[in-house]
Amino acid sequence: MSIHRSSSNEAIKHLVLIIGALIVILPFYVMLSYSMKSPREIETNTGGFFGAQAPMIDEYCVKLGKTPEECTTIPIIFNYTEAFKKAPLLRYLFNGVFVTLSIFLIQALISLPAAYALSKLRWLGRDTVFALVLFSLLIPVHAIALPLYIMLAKVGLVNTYAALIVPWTISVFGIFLMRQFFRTVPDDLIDAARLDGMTEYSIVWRVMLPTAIPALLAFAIFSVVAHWNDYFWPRVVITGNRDLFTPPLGLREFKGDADGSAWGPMMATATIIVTPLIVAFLLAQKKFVEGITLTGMK
Amino acid sequence: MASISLRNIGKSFGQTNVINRLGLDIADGEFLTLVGPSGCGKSTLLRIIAGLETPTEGDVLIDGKASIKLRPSERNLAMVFQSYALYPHLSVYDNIAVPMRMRQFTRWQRIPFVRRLVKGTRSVSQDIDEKVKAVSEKLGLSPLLNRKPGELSGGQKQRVALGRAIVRDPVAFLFDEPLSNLDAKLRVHMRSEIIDLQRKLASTFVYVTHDQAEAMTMSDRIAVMMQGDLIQVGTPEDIYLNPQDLRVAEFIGSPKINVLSAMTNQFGQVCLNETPVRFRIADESSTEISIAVRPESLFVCNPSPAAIPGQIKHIEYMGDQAYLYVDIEKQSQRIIIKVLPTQLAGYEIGSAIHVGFDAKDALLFDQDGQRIYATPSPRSVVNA
Ligand SMILES: Nc1ncnc2c1ncn2[C@@H]1O[C@H](COP(=O)(O)OP(=O)(O)O)[C@@H](O)[C@H]1O
Ligand SMILES: [Mg+2]
Repeated sequence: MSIHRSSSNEAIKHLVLIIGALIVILPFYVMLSYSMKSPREIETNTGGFFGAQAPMIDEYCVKLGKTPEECTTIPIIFNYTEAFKKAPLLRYLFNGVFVTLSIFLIQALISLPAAYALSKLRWLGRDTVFALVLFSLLIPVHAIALPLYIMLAKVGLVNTYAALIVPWTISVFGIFLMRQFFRTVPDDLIDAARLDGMTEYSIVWRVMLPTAIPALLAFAIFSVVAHWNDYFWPRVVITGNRDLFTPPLGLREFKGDADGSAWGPMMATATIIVTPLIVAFLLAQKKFVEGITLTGMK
Repeated sequence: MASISLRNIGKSFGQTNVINRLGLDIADGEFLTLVGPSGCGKSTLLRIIAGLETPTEGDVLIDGKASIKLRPSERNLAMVFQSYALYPHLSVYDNIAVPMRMRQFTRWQRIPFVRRLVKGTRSVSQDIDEKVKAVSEKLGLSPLLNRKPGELSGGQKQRVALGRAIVRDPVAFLFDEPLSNLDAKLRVHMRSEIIDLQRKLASTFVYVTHDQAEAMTMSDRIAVMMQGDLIQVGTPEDIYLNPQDLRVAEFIGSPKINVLSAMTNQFGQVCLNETPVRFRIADESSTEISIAVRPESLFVCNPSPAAIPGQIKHIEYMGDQAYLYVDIEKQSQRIIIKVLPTQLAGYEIGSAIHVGFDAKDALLFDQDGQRIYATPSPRSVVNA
């Protein structure tokens, strides 16, 4: 009886989880599906997941005065080539990589020593500083966006890479996460390193960093995902200069003007943008889960 | 090789005093053990010597040189920790090589890959390599050089920690309960390895432990600490036979020393359960005192006015020896008598017996636990 009940409990649990998973997956399903369909199929909601892949005529191409034969193509190819043609997507991808990696590297460079000082060194005011770190965790980005923008504008950094990177270089979340992890590193190890002749900075880079790789990797994923996908901040500080667009900004290029929204190419672009993240996550999945459990965030 | 002198060392964390102004001179080449119950401040004192902790007052002299301002690495001491404290991401080889690299390489040479570009790296590297190989040979670590600490047993880890300590020829070695994480058998084995090592290196060893057996078997001298005070320093024999404080008597020796509470009367006679035993102390007033007798100094004897009547509560048979646990009237502590197994015949749990001891084997302590001396009467056996 009790076995029966617990197995029906399990079934309910799984049902809830499956529904949750479906809700999360559905937008991706639509994105992937639309990226392969012709405009007609998207409008009429036909063609199943893959679309019929029947040859279609690119109307814009016809408008440019080419023959319909020259403009005939297959929806999936049309969408993905359009994604690269209509906007300099490669440039955007490069910007995205450059910005997210710079942000993460500088964040690591700052949070590791800070976390070390907050977890392993004894100094006056340490608890106050840590309380400030916790407090800063509560401040939403959007609340300080305007002052930040004004400051950047005053120093003339709007529309530069610096505007995209600098505001994020001090991550209180990173400091907090690494500090929690460092607390689990035994003090003896640090004392042994001191006797071995390491300076405090050597200890951070030679002892703490290598032992903290799983936690750092978890942080890397949070940081990279957040900044790769960020639409809000690039939208605020990059005004006009398309050379500095990050991939999410690039999506705007497909927002319809006169000739209607180009859903197919737009979804193809979206697919291209999220693919690196998904691949990276799959590669680092094990370490990522390790890092999250290690830091006690689960 | 160096002598170490502690001058008036005091340490407090906030309001709590952990070490109360103590002094200690450790000779060059000596094996000195700091022993005491957990929390008495042993580790703190060791860390002060190492430079990992700054004392609130006092100074540490290493080879006569005031060292309190020196950083740990500048004191050139090596320390072995209970948790081994090996770098988990480095191989055994690298763990042993790190202290050498930190000392002998320049700043640029310490960075992997960059070091190849710097002149002179190769000869220093070779130097280090030879040293690491020699040390790991000595400790039997050669087959393990490529392993990570996670792949080693506790004993092997402790050997790597020893290797890391000896590789750079420090002037003295500090040990903080290095064997506490090992199982009993390995612990006994490692004891002798550490003693051997000390003989070979002829270096100064300061060894912290809460295990009195380790202290007794390994040291040239023992320093007993209690609650931040150094209460007695001496050779193992001295500490065992001649404790100056009841806490020392109780801490050293296994099984624990028997403590009987007694009174003195106005003639200075010592009375156990109101019966005068045949020794007296100089102070002729009635006060409470403690008589401490080691289990091996107690014996079962014939009834007599001076013998102490008791009842056997428990018998512990160990093979080569046996212990009788005996309850004595009006004494709160159960006493332990060590006997030969052959003497067990005729005794069983519940037997009423009489216990005696030789007055010269009794240690007397006043109410504060300080040692006092008796003047034994001519016939000095208690059971007469
Ligand atoms: N960093 C510290 N802050 C506050 N109290 C400490 C600190 N280190 C040690 N203590 C206290 O000092 C006392 C002695 O500690 P310790 O030297 O580690 O004892 P032992 O090694 O003899 O077991 C303990 O009561 C401990 O709580
Ligand atoms: Mg300790």
